[in-house]
Amino acid sequence: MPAITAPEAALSVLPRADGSAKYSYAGYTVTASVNGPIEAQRKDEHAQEAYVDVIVRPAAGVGGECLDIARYGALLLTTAFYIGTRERHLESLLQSSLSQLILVKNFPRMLIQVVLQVEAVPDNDYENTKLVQASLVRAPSYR
Amino acid sequence: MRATATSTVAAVVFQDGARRVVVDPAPKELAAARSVHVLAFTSHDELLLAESEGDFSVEEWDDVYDAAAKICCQSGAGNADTAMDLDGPANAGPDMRQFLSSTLEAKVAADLYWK
Repeated sequence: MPAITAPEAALSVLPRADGSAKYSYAGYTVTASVNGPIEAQRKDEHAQEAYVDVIVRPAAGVGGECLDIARYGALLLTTAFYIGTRERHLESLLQSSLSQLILVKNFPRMLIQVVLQVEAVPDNDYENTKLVQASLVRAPSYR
Repeated sequence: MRATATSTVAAVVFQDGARRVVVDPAPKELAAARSVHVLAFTSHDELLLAESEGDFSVEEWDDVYDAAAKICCQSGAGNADTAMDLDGPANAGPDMRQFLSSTLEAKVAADLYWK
């Protein structure tokens, strides 16, 4: 079990993003990037305020981001959404929190995109890692 | 930005018949905890996010709130009396607001070095 140390952060780690940061604490490392305000898609456009789009990508797996759909078809569609439930929940929590902090009223009809990539999670000897879990869940559905 | 935010995780653990609030619990403590809470505060000391999992009482939530507010909302520069208090409580956790401002200060100092 990793000893809990002081939190660490680095700013502007991604040169091409409008804003980015890397934060590591207690075995977790997350890289975040922010782009915006950019043009919103018609379905996300809000007449009065900016839409805050949050995407959480887990350390292992695709987090319900349906990249595999084209390859594996509709059977995996349900699996992919099932796996992504955790990330979707985190995204909805973050979206409501960030919308309170960002001055969304200043950027009507725009999109502010926040992407969080989990890079490292603490080792837990008492539980399977998500990599192992993913292969356990998915193994039967390939055949 | 309307404000900045700091957040922390706290778990209520029952150990040897006593209730204890563990800040930043390890995965093993998380698994054994009766309830786990995530709290986020804005820089105006307002509660931004409160998510809880598990069974807990109002008193327990109040304890968790106090512990989290101490970590997220204490003003690092203000309490000069305790600045040299190296024998403070061992599980007090980090001072998140101090951490945020020192990180930003370092970044601003580096970016404005050419001036």
